[in-house]
Amino acid sequence: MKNFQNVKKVTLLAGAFLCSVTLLSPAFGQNTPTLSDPEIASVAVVANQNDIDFAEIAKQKSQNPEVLEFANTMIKDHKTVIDLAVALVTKFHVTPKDNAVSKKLLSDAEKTKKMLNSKSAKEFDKAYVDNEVAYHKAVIAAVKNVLVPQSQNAELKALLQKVVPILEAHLAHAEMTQKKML
Amino acid sequence: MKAFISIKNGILFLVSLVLLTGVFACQSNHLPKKYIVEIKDMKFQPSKLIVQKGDTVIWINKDIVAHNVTEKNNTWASPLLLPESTWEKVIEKSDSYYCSIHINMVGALLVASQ
Ligand SMILES: [Cu+2]
Repeated sequence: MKNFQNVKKVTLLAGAFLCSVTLLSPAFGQNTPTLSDPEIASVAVVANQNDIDFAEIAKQKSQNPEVLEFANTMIKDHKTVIDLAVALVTKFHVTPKDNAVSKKLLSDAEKTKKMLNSKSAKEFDKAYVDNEVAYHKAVIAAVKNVLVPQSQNAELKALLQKVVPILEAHLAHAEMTQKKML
Repeated sequence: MKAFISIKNGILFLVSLVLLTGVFACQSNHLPKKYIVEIKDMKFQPSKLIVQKGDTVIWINKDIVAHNVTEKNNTWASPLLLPESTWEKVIEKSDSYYCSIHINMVGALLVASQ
């Protein structure tokens, strides 16, 4: 019986490990994770905060006015979205809840921040803008395919739906900046 | 013959009078209008607006983020427009504009020739 439990434990662990690799690589993989509203709120806050953190690095490292303007826009808009998400969870007495997706987003962002911080002044702008293009593409897909369909609260769903065109405008802005740097 | 000429003159006079009144009427007839451009889903809607000189355009921000309305060469600009706030301007000439926070948001005002 003890053996059986151990086997069960190992299988569970292996399963959890496989899930975290296949489901969350990148953070939102092909297999759709299932999230509750408090978990969606946590993912939304983390996803927005990550992009603010990347922009803060750009403000320290870039000299390019277009890159700096883009970074300022990222800080303003993503801060607004966080404020609205926080107002919503406060209104509904919900506490954002950590989950596999938000944790993966956080650990990926740590790697990205290290990468950005390691770049020379000359390499930085391209690395930052390339990452912004990729990051916004991934977050748009996640919001559209996971967060919006899975949110139960109508106001949370509506907020997430309003965020999509903002992210799409950021993506277009990043791609425009990317082209100018070629 | 003389009578005929004066009749002809009289008709001409009447016709020109009618025409002139028409012209004046047309000119004074254009009361300035107000148009609304919604800023929604990161777009100016409508993005192209045809107005007459002297018309007013009111921009309303229906998004959850702040925007502005800035002429493409920065000759005029609105202040920062927070969600649900409005800004209006009397239009004197055709102009292209954009949001300087989201530079791919663009719009145009076309003043129709009278
Ligand atoms: Cu804008």
